[in-house]
Amino acid sequence: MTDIVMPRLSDSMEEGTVLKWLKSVGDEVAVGDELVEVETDKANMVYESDTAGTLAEVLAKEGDTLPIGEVIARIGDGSEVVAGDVGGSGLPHHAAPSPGEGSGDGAAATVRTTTATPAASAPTDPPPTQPAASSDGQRVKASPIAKRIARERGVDLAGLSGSGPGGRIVKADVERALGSGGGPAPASPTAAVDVATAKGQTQVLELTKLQQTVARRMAESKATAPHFYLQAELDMSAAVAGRTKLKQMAGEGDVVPTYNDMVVKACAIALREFPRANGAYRDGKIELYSRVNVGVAVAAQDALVVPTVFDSDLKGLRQIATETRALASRVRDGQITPPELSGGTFTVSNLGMYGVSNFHAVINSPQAGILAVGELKAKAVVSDEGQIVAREMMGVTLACDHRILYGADGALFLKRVRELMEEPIGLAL
Amino acid sequence: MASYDVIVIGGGPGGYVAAIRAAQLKKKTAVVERDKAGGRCLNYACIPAKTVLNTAEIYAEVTENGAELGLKSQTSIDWPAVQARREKVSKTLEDGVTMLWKKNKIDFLAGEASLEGAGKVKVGSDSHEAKTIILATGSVAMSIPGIDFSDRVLDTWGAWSLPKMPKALVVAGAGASGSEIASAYARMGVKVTLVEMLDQLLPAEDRDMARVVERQFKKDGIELLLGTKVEGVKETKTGVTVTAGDKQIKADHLLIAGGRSPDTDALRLEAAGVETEEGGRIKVDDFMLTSANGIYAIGDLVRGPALAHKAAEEGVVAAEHGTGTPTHPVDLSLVAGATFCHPQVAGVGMTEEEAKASGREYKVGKFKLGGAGASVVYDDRAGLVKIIGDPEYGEILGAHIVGNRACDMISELVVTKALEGGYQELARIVHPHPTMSEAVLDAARAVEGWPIHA
Repeated sequence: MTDIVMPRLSDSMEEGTVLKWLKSVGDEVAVGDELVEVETDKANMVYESDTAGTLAEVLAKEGDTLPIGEVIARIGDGSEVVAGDVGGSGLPHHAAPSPGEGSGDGAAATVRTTTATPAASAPTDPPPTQPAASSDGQRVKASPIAKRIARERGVDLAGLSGSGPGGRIVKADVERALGSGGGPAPASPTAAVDVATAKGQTQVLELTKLQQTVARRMAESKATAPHFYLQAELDMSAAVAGRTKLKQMAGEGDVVPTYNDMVVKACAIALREFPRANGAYRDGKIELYSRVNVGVAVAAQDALVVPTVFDSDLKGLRQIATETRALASRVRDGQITPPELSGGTFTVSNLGMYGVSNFHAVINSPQAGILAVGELKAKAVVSDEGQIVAREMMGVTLACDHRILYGADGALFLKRVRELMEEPIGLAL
Repeated sequence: MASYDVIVIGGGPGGYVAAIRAAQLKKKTAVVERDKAGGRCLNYACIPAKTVLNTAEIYAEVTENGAELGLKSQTSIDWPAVQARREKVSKTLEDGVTMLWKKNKIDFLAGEASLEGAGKVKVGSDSHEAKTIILATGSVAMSIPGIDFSDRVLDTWGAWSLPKMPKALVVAGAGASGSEIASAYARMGVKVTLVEMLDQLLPAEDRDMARVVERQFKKDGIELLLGTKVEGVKETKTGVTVTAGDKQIKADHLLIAGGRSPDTDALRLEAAGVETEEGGRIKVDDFMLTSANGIYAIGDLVRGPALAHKAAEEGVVAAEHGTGTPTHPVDLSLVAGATFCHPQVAGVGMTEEEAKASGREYKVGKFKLGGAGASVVYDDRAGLVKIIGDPEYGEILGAHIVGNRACDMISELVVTKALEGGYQELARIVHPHPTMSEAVLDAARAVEGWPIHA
């Protein structure tokens, strides 16, 4: 008999919830077979068995939350099936040949992420919700253009209702969802009883594990990290011209960096030069990191996560652009894995595409800062010659944890980002 | 006096379809028509035009290109027979519409209808009641200010039903109808002068399309006077002398293909509180409902292009909405134009000029029909497919085809656009070989810069 325990599926995981048993008691289990789906603080993941045998006993019921290391099931050679188990199918005992002992410790197993759920690190975006039903591969009736917009803008089609013939989702539906900042909210996992009060009917929603984590960490960050904010308006005219040129030069299939990719690169260069901005305040000490890993908040309707661009300072703009795209698409396809969501040393959050001119983000603790990026828009400004001219302006706000990043440091960091964005040739170095 | 669920006034391409749709929805339906079933499209406009054009097309193909194709013949035009066939084609289709009405148990009320307040229609001396009334009386030809129609100055119907094969014609207006008339007669050997006020042949079409047509018109011997106005006409015993710009042109007839105006005189719109707008058109909402409760209007009576296929679909929408059936409004940006001159021109959505004027980003893919193997087989290489795409998500903003099968070829682009397929999808859809439609495939690839046969 081999014990199967609640695995540690991410570095921050303390406990996990059994969502669904994919095998029943008495079923044969081979190495690599999908055994159980577990919800962690970061993602819903399928736990693949590395032990072969017959599922003898299921100890954790679906819905149970257990700390890591707790035994959730046992795999044996087929002779010890425990009848009447919670996960049991009631099937007669399988006389399964046992190909040999399992690995023994029951802790090592391969894990495949099924559904990316938000990391707790994109504080400024709308609260993440339980993944909608589409990520499981169900066919969504939508036009090719609607699908393409949804993919690129991170809209989950499953949350939308289609206005086309036969309920088909068309472009207008996706655009409406984008316009209103997301479609109708997907059904909540647990809706509770209505309580009539002076406020009318009250719907009480249970938080998912992920929402609990987000709530806890955001509140902790705001309550314990003394935030202060530095705002700046960046003149993006040169960046716009540069990007237009890049676009013209781009060959078939070439990735053209977005303005956000440029911001990531500028931050990475500045982070390298200002070590405190690339650090963390932890337990009364300051930690400075040797690698510059910029996290990019990616909004998806059912997922809101901060995948990491590792060593952003060492990567060229095109590589950053390629990686952020790939990461965003992996987030949307539910393929993102915990390692890709951890290790960030700084965060960039961009709400410019929603027409937000500027905003204050909550620091993704224990990081030292987060840069909030607003909309790029032509504005009338006074030029050096005293003329009123139209320039492409973009508002940014740097939130700093005053315990590690002080006013002057933050200002110098932001100044450097500004220089790099206003003379973007520096990004190419 | 009878009571109906739906009365449709006008039995043209919009009205006859509306009536059938209402009847399919189990509504007691009548259609009022003062002339023939099928209306103007079928009896006096589209169908007669295409019938004569078809003869002209075959005649020109045999006489001009017979040697290349290995045909030897002495071909000449038997004009009375052409006219007899035109009548026969219209009659066949008219009988078809009548049969469909009968089959669907639709009452045919012969006569002229007028509105008598809410829910009441008067036909001749009879009054009828209807819960829903659909106005579908179409449009009439407009002349040019200062010029009246006569035996020598004819509208488009006159142009297609000339009693005698003419020797020379002046056509005023180089839009779809004028170009069709000019092309048909020129290809039957008639000396044609085509006069257009604006500076482009087929002014509503994409300029690239117009250019290809212009080249062919010149080859066919049409004298094209662009940016020129017909100032006046003098009738003589044997014909007309037309003043156009600084020219005096002698011809058998002046044919006016100017524009059309809604035919509402007999309807007594004011009696029912039906409001009109610019150009005397009836104001309607997306579901073709007028300002009066229960009264719908479709086709040439309302905004949008005067096209039979647009009227027909509006008829479906009006019938469905008027009977409380779920329906979808007609998207006018998806109504394709179709001009049957030689070469044909068909298009849907924006022209490149419109895309440019809108200030948006766009990408163009062009592919010449000559690049499709089928065009060599048919020895019919003139033409072009042009797709205007939105580079952001690949949406097809507009698509245009000029070529001899353009009007049959455009549908796949309409479908792709309507279903919100992008040029990327179209570029990956296998097209049968050898067909002209392969040019559409290569045009879609051309938007992304990789046409195979160019």
